[in-house]
Amino acid sequence: MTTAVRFDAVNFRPGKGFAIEGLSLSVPEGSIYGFLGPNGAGKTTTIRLMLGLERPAAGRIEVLGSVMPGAATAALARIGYVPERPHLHPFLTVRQSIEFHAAFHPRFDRRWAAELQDEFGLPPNQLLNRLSKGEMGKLLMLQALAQRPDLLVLDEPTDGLDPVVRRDLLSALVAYVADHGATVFISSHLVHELERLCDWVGLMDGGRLVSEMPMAHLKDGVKRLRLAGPVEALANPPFSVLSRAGVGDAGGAVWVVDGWAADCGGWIAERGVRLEAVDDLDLEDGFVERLRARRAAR
Amino acid sequence: MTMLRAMLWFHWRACRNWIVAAAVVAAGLPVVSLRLSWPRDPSQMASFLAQLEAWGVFYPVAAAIVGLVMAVIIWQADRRGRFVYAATLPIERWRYVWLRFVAGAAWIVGLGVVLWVASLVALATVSLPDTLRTFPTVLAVKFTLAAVSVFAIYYSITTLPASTTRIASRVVLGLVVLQVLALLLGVEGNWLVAVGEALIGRWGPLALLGGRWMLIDV
Repeated sequence: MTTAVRFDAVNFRPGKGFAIEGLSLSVPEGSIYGFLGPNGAGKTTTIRLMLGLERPAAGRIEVLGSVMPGAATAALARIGYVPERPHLHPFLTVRQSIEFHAAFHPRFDRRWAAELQDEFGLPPNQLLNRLSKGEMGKLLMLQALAQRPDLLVLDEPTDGLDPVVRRDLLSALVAYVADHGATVFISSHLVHELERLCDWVGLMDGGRLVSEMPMAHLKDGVKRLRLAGPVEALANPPFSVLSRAGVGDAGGAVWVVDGWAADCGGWIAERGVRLEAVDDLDLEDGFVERLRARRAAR
Repeated sequence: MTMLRAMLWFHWRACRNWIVAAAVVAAGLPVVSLRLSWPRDPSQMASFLAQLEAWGVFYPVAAAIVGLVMAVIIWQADRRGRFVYAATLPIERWRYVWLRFVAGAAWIVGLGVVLWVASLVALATVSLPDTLRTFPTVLAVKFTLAAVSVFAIYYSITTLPASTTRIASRVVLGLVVLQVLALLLGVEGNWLVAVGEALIGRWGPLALLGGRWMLIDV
């Protein structure tokens, strides 16, 4: 598997208190990688490291074959970036902002930018400080896409936007990925949105990567089990238990487990415990359970 | 070239109010100084020159303000965005800093041209005796170089890391406090004046701000 982004044991401390420690992650080329985590988990800091805006204290970061931050210039020519907070210049008009951006990006596609501008309904002569939040989000996405990047790094790109604008942006993103096979690294706390979009997912908490896996694995492997009988007999199971809760006095329990497989049901039955139900968890539940399990283990 | 053009346009958008105001001053200074100093009686040329020399003080002041303000506002847009946009452009940082500098200096040169044209226009409106000579080009070049010097010095300071600037500011502040204390205690010597003189003295980096600034002289 070729990787577009690789972090190897990266340490970084942006200030007092919070630190990224031993962060290792790899984003497969051509994937849409969802980067999940609660506020303050270190998602934006990880993105800043990825873009070469920060220098790690230890470890190695490789983006599109360039080691960051040393070779950032070469890598940035192939990266489209949409930041969490708009960073464009408010005194420029939409057209001027696009022109200024185009002057620095060798692969910028002006014709496509004009098409996207029409598609997004962006008024060309409007000053950026008069754009609505949705229009600003569209402009940021437009500029990032029209660079024809091999990697798109999106930091909470749809945060605070209405559903119509969100859909427009994500449609443009999916169309670009389908046409160009680009890699997308998208950070968000809108878990449901990522669930529909991503094929890989990384979970971040407290500056550490909790887990990283294909989306299908996360969705298929994490289950909620409804058990009846002597659950104490289920020692050393062939799956990991993320959370346990007792139900009533009859010895029943609800477990959330990871690494569930079809033959696990038989293993439970052999120990005299009845498996009453196996429920799928959506990404948000899976995400919350993993975070809880990690925090409980600390 | 595309990047420089984009940067020049960017600076125009970012600083156009200031550039227009500076252009009005650059255009007005030679015209107004000549109009107000011009004698009614042609025999009073000596007092005319003295008045024009008095007006000459405004040229270095204007040049210093132009250079200083240009250096301050040139980074304002990037500072507002915490330099994220600039730092994520696929261009080496030294090159970006250089482009910003060249664009700022180019606008200052433009102001020098405005001053030169205004000086020529002002001179065309008066008829001078043969004993006097005109220096519109020298004045415009001196103005431009002085403004660019101030711009370059302050620009260099603003491109230093914030921590270095903080340390330098504290050192300067400390020296000022020490000087005030020294004055209060009756200790002789004024090193702030000495520093000022060293800066605009003959071999100082701001030497261009000193000397005479005359549009017309003997």
